[in-house]
Amino acid sequence: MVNVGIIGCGGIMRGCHIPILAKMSNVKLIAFCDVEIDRAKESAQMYKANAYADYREMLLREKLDAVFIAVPPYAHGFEVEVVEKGVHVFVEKPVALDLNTARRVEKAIQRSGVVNSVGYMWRYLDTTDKALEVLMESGPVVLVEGHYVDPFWLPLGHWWLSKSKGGGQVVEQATHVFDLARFLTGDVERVYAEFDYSLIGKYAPGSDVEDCSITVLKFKSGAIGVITATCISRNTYNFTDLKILAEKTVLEHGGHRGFLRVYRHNSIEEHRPRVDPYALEDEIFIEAVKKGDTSKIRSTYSDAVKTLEITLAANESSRAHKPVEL
Amino acid sequence: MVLGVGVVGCGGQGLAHIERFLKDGRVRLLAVCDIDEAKAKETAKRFNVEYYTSYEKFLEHPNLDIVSIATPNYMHASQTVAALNAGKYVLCEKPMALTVEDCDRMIEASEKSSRLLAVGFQLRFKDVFQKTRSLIRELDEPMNAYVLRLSPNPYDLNLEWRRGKSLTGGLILSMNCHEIDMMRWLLGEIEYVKADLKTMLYGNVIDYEDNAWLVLGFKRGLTATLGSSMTAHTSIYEYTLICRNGTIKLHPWENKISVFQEHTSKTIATDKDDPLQKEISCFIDSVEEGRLKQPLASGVDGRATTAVIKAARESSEKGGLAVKPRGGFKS
Repeated sequence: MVNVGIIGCGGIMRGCHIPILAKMSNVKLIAFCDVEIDRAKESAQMYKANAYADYREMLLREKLDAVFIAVPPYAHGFEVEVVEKGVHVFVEKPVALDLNTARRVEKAIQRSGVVNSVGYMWRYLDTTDKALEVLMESGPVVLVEGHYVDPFWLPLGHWWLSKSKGGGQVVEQATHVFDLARFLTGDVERVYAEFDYSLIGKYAPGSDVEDCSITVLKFKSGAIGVITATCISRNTYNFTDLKILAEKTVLEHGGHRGFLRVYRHNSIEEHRPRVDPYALEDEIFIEAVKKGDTSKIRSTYSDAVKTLEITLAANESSRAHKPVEL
Repeated sequence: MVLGVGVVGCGGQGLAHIERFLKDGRVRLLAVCDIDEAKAKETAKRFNVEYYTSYEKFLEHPNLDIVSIATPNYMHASQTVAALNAGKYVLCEKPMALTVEDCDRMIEASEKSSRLLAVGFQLRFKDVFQKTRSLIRELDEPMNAYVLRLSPNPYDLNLEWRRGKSLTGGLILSMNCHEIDMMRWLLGEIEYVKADLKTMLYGNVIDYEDNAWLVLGFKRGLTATLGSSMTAHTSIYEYTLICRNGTIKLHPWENKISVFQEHTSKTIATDKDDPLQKEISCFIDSVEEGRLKQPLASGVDGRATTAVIKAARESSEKGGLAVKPRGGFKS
């Protein structure tokens, strides 16, 4: 049995990880922590566990094997204290809002040797496996095109609407597309971005997050890419995707929609997912904690830091109006 | 010996036949026939052959082996019977004839004269349908099928024969004989028909339906529906075939087939082929070998389709009751 604690009882945790973990026979949810103690209490009551407002207290009092962490992006960094106690960590993306914090946690994880995983769940889709398989026989990738088009429907004052708290759409949301691009086509060496802010104030007065962005990527393999994001598309044009144009094949990954389309000479194939990627990433993490074998984890903390680095570079480039070398 | 060919009907389809016979190259075009002398003459001049305005005289041409019939629908029966009686091999355009009795006369004439009779259901030769036919086998028992053929009016209603049911056979015979034949070819024999036929828009010009709904019950158990319209504002031609292990959707004019299964779907681009060329070459093969070659439609196939359409008319008159397609021929 793996004793699990939860840090951050917000939307992704309550809507996704908690119910998945609760169903797993080899997991015991023993403690819930949230700075808003009522949220922690609600879940704690449901699962007959203890509630905490302070993670330090939780770490002190509970015998935890692993914690699942889903806090607003600005609140990361405390993971150092968790892993120093030898507790394994599953961390939701983005792992931080600056590279110093991320690297501090990364080093602490390396020193402690705990099992670690980050919630880039698209990597766990079987359609992503299929994409990797098709890419093996597709010749070199030449062009990568991704989208994150989604409206926000958040109350004013929400952390997501503040760049210093949420990081903005590229760092917080479109990061999924950047990460999948990396997973399928390798690391990036240069980033150039244009961000626009002209409409965000109309929908969220006072907000300083970008409402539109274009980020151009130069991959180490030689491929080039562009990822477009907007958070003000309040209409039917809403989707996420990543298209990969290789020499012999074009792949279209449906992102949140999960499908993979493979365009070949005279045929289009569509594969729909057979797995729940959220459940799979949680199960694989728990399995790794139990057995100490981390080989099935697809997104380690260090890997996620590289994705963060690209999205932060996009922000930097958009401010400097210059390409940023990584 | 090189087979001699004569084509009757020098309209669009007649010219299409001529081109394919010439392109095949194994036969010699000798004569054309049309009651419109100017048309006959012009066509004869273009292809350097003889022309006739009298069908009787045309059939007397000493070297004609094959007669290809591409005339208005109501002429098919008498012209086919006369050609067969004169010892010619006949390729008759679709629909075979307007009545089941006419079809029977044509089949009898073919049997008596021992000359092949084929009906021009050219869609059977189209790659998109041939691939669909093998897909149905792969995907196991078909359970349900929907066919939609909707378009703006495709006919020149200035032509008198296009306006009368007794001359064209109406929309469901003239147009949808293709779909009935295709469904028979893909799904087997039709046991009953329920239909609703309506004239919604062209009532002051034509005396037949411009919109039609057919429900077709097949011997193997499945039921299919066919929707047809000549009053639409765009062209939609599609087949949806629900089989046990997958659903097939095809768009014949786009040469595209999609197969949907539980976790995958695949769209295949099929050949942009010339089915009429394949049909005519297959007909020539058949004449040379002395037997109808697959997938060429026989007189019995043509008759079955006319019988289904006759049953549809009867059903519509009876308010949509199920009617068994049958007729006078050996039934």
